[in-house]
Amino acid sequence: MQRDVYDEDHEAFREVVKEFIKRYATPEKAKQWDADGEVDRDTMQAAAEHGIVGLSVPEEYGGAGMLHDFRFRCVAIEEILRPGHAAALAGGVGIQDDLAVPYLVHFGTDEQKQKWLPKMATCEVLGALAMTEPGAGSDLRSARTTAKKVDGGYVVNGSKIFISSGKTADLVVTFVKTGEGNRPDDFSLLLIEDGMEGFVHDKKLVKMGSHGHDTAELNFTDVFVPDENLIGGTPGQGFVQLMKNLPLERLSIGAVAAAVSEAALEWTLEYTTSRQAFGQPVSAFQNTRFRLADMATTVDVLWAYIDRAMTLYGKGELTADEAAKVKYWCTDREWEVLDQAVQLHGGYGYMMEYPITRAFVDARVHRIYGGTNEVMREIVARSLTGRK
Amino acid sequence: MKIVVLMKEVPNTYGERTLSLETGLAERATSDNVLDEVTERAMEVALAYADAHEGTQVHALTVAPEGATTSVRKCLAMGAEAATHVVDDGLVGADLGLTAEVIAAALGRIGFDLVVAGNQSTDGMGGVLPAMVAELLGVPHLTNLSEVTIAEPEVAGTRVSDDADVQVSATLPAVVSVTDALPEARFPNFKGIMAAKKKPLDVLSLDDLGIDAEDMTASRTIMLAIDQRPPRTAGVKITDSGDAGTQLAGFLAENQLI
Repeated sequence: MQRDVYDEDHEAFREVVKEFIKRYATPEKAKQWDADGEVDRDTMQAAAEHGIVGLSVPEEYGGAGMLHDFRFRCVAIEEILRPGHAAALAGGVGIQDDLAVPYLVHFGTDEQKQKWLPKMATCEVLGALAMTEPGAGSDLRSARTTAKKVDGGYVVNGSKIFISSGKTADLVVTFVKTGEGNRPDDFSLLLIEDGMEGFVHDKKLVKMGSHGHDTAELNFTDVFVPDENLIGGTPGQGFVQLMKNLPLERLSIGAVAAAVSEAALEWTLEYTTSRQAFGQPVSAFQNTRFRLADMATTVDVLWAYIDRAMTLYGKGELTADEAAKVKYWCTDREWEVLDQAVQLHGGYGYMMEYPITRAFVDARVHRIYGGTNEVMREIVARSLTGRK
Repeated sequence: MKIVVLMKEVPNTYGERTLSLETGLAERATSDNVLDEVTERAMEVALAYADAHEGTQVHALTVAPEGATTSVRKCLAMGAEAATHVVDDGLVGADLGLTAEVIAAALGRIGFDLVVAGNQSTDGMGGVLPAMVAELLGVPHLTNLSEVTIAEPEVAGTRVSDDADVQVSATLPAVVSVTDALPEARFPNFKGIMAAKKKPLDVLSLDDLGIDAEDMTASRTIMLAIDQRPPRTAGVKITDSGDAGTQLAGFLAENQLI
């Protein structure tokens, strides 16, 4: 179904992203990312030069100033994911633009913005967001990483786990406990820098999928973080700050789910129309035809939903509850589409050299991270009936 | 220094390209229309020079149907400062002579020190347009260059041919055309796209340029008729039963090939 959220600028930008993938993010390079477990910095910086990452950094700091308009981000997501080999890049770009930069743009002090945003626009500085801990995932208030107030700053102790871009990050927006209890105002966000004494973040985790994008464990042992690195400058704002960016984070995952579903449909069409079985293309069998029809319809509905959510987000009207619906519904549909797509690929759908196989294992985490889909449903339920 | 680059939009070279059997023209509606790659390389020659020489103006010029605006904008997004798009119904199916007249007239209006073009387009494949334009403007032309050096007041380069590589040079103003041996062109970035929206894009008609497409005193090539290419027929198969040589010779003699 024809989408109507994009104008000629978005379509021109689409060509930029396509050309960038062709020249800078080749399948050969993606193999290297898989081997290294991370996307190389040169590619990230080249992506920044072309404006493919840094979209959410305000213009005065060298970015595109599009934090409030997700459409360019969505075009980048679509075109990075379409060929199937460059998903790791989509991961790195998404963390920078949707999870790290927004905290500085929304809540950073002028000094923090001036110090970090220009470098984040060029990817000289890569960011990450660290919330999850070994004993605290969806249940964030159980976080035990402490930041004890001392003269001139904070001393941080604890650990974070499953942090996307955690190894390559130069600057980690870290959720820490600055108070004594577990009330919302006992938490803050600190900017913890690579190289700070006692901060170790080189333990790369081995995952089921997303092999080319680093996910790390972060350890903090008596890390001194100066006052100037407290996001916003006032302690106790951590929870409120996290809440503000939730719609974007959830929308971002939903958009990835829609883009992967669309790409999977394209790969499956190509495979089933060229693969022969019993003397005819696989696409001539009724089962295949019905499944393809289901997948195509799902993709249309996914985009209709994402496009509506993008429009609301652009007007500042997408609520965290609505974004939770988008996140869980789109990733659940994505999973169904991918499962069908793998099935239609037969044995080839189980081979890692096929994009559908990679997409399948990569996507499994979409229903887990960014708040599990179960927690998303609970959030939606709360918006309907309160806590009971 | 003002460099004007001749840009051409063509049906995607790597896609399906067809001629309309009614008009004899390339079917633009059914194909993906893109900037001809060699003209992008020509643009790169100009932009690379401009990067290294402050004060250089790069201007894109194209003669193309109305729908080519996206391609014109791409030139601006790549880095050209301004663009001129000549569009007129009278130019539908224009031959090389008329196109050259139009381009020369537009160049006269824009002003130039150097004109850079691709050596030949992937659709029309005429390959003589840059020389015709130079002839009309009364300036020297260096065509088919595999390497270009711009050093005021001169432009020089290597002209490739089947037999030899020739070092050529000319005094500016001049016209040069380049081959695909030149470096791959840069592509726009986000900021380029946004900046392009604010750059001047001049749209000109034949009237603006004072050209009469129907001028019967000028030599013009027009399409009279077009036919579908006949389908290929099966060739002659010779099975060797000891006399294949004789049969082959007979076949060649029969077709007056020997």
